[in-house]
Amino acid sequence: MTVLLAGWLLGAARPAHAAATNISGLVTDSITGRPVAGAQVTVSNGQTTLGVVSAEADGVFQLFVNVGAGTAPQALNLAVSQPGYGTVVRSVVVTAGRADQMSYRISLPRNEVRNCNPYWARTVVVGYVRPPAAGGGLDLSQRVSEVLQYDLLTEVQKTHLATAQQPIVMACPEAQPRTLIEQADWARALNVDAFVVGMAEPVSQRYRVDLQVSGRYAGAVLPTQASTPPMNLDRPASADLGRAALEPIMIALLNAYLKEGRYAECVEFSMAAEHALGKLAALTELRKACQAKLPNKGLLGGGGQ
Amino acid sequence: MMTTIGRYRMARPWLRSMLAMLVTGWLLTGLLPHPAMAAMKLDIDEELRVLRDGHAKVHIGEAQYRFAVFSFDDPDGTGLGNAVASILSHDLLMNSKVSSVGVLRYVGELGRASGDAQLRYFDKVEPLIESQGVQVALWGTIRRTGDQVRIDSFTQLSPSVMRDAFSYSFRLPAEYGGGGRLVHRIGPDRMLTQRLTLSADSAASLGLLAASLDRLHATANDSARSVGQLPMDSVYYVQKRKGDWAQVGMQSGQSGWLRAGGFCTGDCAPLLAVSRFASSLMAYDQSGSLPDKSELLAPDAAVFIDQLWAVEVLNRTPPQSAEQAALAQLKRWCPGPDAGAGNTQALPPGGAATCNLRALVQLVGPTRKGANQALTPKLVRSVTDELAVVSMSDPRHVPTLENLATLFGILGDGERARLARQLAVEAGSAGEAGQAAKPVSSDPTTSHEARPGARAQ
Repeated sequence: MTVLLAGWLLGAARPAHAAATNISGLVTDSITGRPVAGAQVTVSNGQTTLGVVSAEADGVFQLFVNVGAGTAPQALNLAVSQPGYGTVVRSVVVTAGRADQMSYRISLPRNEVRNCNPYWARTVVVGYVRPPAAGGGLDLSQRVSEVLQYDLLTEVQKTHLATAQQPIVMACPEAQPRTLIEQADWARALNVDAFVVGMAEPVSQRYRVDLQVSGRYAGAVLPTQASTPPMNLDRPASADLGRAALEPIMIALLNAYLKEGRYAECVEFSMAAEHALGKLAALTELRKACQAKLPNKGLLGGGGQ
Repeated sequence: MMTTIGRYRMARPWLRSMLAMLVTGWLLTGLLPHPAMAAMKLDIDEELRVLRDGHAKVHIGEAQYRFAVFSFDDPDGTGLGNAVASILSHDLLMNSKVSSVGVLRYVGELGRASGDAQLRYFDKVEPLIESQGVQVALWGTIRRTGDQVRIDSFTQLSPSVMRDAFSYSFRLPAEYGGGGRLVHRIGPDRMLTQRLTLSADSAASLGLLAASLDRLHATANDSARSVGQLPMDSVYYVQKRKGDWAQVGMQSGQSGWLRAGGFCTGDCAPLLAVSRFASSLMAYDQSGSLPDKSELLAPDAAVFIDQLWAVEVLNRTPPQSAEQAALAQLKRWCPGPDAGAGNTQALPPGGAATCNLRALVQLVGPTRKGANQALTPKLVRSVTDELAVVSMSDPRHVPTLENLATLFGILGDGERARLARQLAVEAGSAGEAGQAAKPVSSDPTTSHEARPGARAQ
């Protein structure tokens, strides 16, 4: 930021650019937040290109464009593109030779999440679930999301949880983290409560699907793993995921209710989870944490007075 | 219109309008003293759209007892979604324990989100049945699991019928805090009624079976010639029964014989526990007859039945043993503080409902006429403590919070009484149960025990 500020001040002061406007910023990856080196940055005014530059290794870019000597505000386009990412175009308003922002932060969306647009407060996204080698055409992501949706909602709705606070499950089969560590960032980057990926592993002529789950509020904790029972993936519509696959997702959702101060929903959801999965230490611990914040706590102990 | 059940009272504000419908229905069917029936097929999404636009109209309003049966979701393509729904509909119509039955048959998918509100499953069913005055809805999902087919059947009671037929109110004697009121609502109102697993072959046979259900025969015989199909969207009535067969007559004058029994045997038979359960809930409302307990029903339904039995025991059994007998009905779901579960205990299906009823039984018992024990402050304190613990596990259960407000009031703990009342209000439906299940006007200590469902019409 210091560099950007210095550059901006310098640009404003240098006589050689007296009629030029300094446009600076930083290009980052939407999932990891890390710099994207080499991204092409183009500033244009309508059909006229005013300047092109590549982001440096640290993702920073700076260019000077001549927009004329007028003092009236002018709307320019700032377009950033890079192979593997979707192009981002945003507006830059220049007034009396100065841009409306000192630095533009551009978060480039990866191609693999371009079609994944969570639109609901409580969302679980099922990303890429790698099929067995012989099952290239299988959409396991869709299958996993359908089963999760049914198992979660039919249990949770019994508690009359408000629709807006119920989780929906989206299949985003192209959403594929590049590394295991990176996967922990995906739930936050997509702004969803839980992000699930997986792979099918052969087990004595059948297949087990290993799922990895990260949560929006999981912090530095690595994704939680769960495995389905062995299934016959030649008939994916018959695949029974088993309820164990639900556990880490339930925990990620409970954690979201807790962190967002929805304590009653957290307790109700934990009860639904327990009915679906049986008693689990992790669920009980999260429920205790939510119960400790309930106003109902003020009702305890009163009968004995 | 109210029905007194011992010291409980059920309210049925809709009863008057339903009676009017029944009269209309009988007029339509030629004033025949036989059970009137009607069925109609409706599209889920279209009905929701009409409802959103404010143009909903009541279908087959002639029927007093109204069921909705939805095509079972069939995401794995078994082809049985309509077949299972047809079998359940047929059983409801042919073997209902109540007279004047209407079945709305909805087709479409409940698992697919509808509208901006993203309604699915129970949330999608609720506005439809509430707008139609339907008391009980049946829906479900059919999934392949390996080489088998799993049929999940759900039962859903409308908010109105819960308020009117399954809510209770009990007024404590005046000497306890000026006669506070305790309330209960049977739960859950959204149930997984049955999870039935069939072999693929057995499941496939359901499709064949369903295809012939509505075929009208010239005589009461499978090999008798067909005289047509039972029409949807019309009122008809049973003219005669002969063994497993029923002769059905229509407004058009057409009549024919339908299989009313023995149409779903062998591996199909367990499925009928779902429709029988739904029918028995309405029979309870109509005549007070209790649903049978069945191993074929899932825990959600079993806990509902056990609560009804506990209420019944309390009303029928002589006071000396009523409390223990009613508690025995509830103990397997809500063992109470002696089980040492602590305040993180998991609740039974239906959340706090069973434990709330357990608390009421403990308080109601001693106040019954002829009871040989007293409602002591110690007992009130103990029950209040139990309910407070329960509310930690189902924090927005309105009847529990309202009862806590009453009990803290009796104990002179105004601060906690206010908190409980405030929490009940915040839970969004404060007083709803109480408004429907109004207190008995007479002195409860002198009222007579009456069977649940005994009608005061």
